[in-house]
Amino acid sequence: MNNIGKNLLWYIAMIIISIFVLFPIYLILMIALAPSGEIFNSSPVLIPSTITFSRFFLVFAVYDFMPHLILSLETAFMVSGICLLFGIPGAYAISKMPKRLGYSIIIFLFITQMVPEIVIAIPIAKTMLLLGIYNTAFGIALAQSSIALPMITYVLVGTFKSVPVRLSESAQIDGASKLQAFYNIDLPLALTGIYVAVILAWLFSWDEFVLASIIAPLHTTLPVLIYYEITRGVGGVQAADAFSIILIIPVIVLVLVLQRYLKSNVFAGALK
Amino acid sequence: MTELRLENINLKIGNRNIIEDLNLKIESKDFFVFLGPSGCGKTTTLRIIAGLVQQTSGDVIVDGKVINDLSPSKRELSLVFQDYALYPHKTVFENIAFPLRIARKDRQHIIDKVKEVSSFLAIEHILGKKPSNISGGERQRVAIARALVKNPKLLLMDEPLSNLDAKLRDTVRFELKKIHNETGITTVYVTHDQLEAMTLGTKIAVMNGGKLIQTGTPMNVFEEPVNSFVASFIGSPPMNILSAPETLKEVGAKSGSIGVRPRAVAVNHDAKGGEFVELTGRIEGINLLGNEALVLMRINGESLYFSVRREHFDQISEGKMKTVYVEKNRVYLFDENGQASGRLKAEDYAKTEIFGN
Repeated sequence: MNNIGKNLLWYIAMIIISIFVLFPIYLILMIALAPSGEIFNSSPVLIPSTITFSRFFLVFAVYDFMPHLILSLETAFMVSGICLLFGIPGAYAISKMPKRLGYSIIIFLFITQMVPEIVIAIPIAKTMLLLGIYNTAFGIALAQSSIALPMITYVLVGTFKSVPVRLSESAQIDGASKLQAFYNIDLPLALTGIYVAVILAWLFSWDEFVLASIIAPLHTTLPVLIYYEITRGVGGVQAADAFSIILIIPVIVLVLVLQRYLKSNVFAGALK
Repeated sequence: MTELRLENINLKIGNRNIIEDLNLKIESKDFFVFLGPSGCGKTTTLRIIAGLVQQTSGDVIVDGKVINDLSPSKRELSLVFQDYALYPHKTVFENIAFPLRIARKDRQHIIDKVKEVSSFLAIEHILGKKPSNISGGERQRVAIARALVKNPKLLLMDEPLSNLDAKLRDTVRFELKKIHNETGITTVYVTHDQLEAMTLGTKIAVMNGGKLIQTGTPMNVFEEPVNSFVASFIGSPPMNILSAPETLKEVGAKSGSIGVRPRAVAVNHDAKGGEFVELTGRIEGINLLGNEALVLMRINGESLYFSVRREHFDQISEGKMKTVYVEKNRVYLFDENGQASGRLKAEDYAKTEIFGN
């Protein structure tokens, strides 16, 4: 097969995948923009007859929406922060350990994930009540980090392992202490993986439902709010849909901002 | 002005002896070459000197001071890695400046030093580039510049030429010699290439199986190998090791094998006829190399390699029987364990017909 044929196949595949990913988002957008009368049909609205932004105004006017958005953002950034603060040193240490020991520790980290979240959420909520961080962003972030941190650590172990150990050795020969070698060499070269970790941790918290709903049931995050609205019935569903659009926007911004750092050839020229 | 001593260095990993009882002294301004096949422990020895590997026992002594417990960063030495290990996220300038930045030198000093060392190595024009945008030869120079910039006590090099193509390797070999001559830094160099060892080294240490086999000047190691391993490792083409003829017992030599350097074999019986031994065999292969040919000859089921100069090309042809002449005083003797036991002497030849055909 010639090159043009290959490229054509490639583009067709990309178009199919894009439609698969983007079509649901398109539907949500159309539902949010369509007049109320067209939403509750047996088939989804593909092209609304008129476009209305009334539902977004409704969200801002009727619902006290901003505090929930701020809480969600606060929580997501805290989870990213906690995961980096503990994930980077932890992952770096594990990456330097003998293979079997490091592997055992990673398995051990994932034990927290073997218990269903709903089961550990209640004792966690009780402890947080005692500590006075129940119903706070920090409380939610701490609980979510217990799930996100093992995952982030695992991603970062792989990242640090991909940095050639020779470079850190070279830095030590050049006079750097182990900490200086880490700071000057390993850390900058692991940045791509660290950005990925930030996105993962952020997204995990942004979408998380179970822990947020139990630890902050009253003043709660956006996903929980959407759930509450859906359970309220017709009017709620319309609001929930507008919320969903708002929920997507920060994700797109985050990925766009960080994607220029996601280059794959950071090690070119290092060895040989 | 740095002298390095290794005393009773041992390295064990599990039950395996990686380095066994290594003792040697590297004098100030030496260009000291560790030579050996891969896996012989030469790179590991270098890493022990650098402090990247901790020996199981024994001392690394620099200028009379034991430095076993010093971390690599405190040893004031430089190491040029086989694969250069340049920092890919830093420019060439920052790569070279890194040792000075870590040492917190002031800005002007850093700029001056980097300029000085990069003009010495002729890489001033690439200071602004990233390692990914320069050639293999340039990366090599950058790695050397980074090693030289802090005026190390010791310069360690781990097979620095092995990633260069053959032509560049010849050029850089001369340059390394020049760098050593001009800086006078005590240099420890690891290679598996006997040519590099012979041409660069002021001293050579031949290693095999984690042990030091022989230390000496290149010519000394070439002329007086202590065993058949060294003999067959040094020289290009290497020494022929043949099983000794029965008749050798008659002269009292405890010989397991004999060694003949390829260039000690002549196809022509010239005026000095009396000092040659005759060997006859079938020529099985000829590699023409321009001014010279490498010839493989089978004698009693054994292989003898030798070189033939261009003016004698007409005397060799594949598949033909041929008589060659070996200089009598250049036949080495090795005992059954491969240890050198001198050379054949004139009186030995007088006693019996050693190579009777």
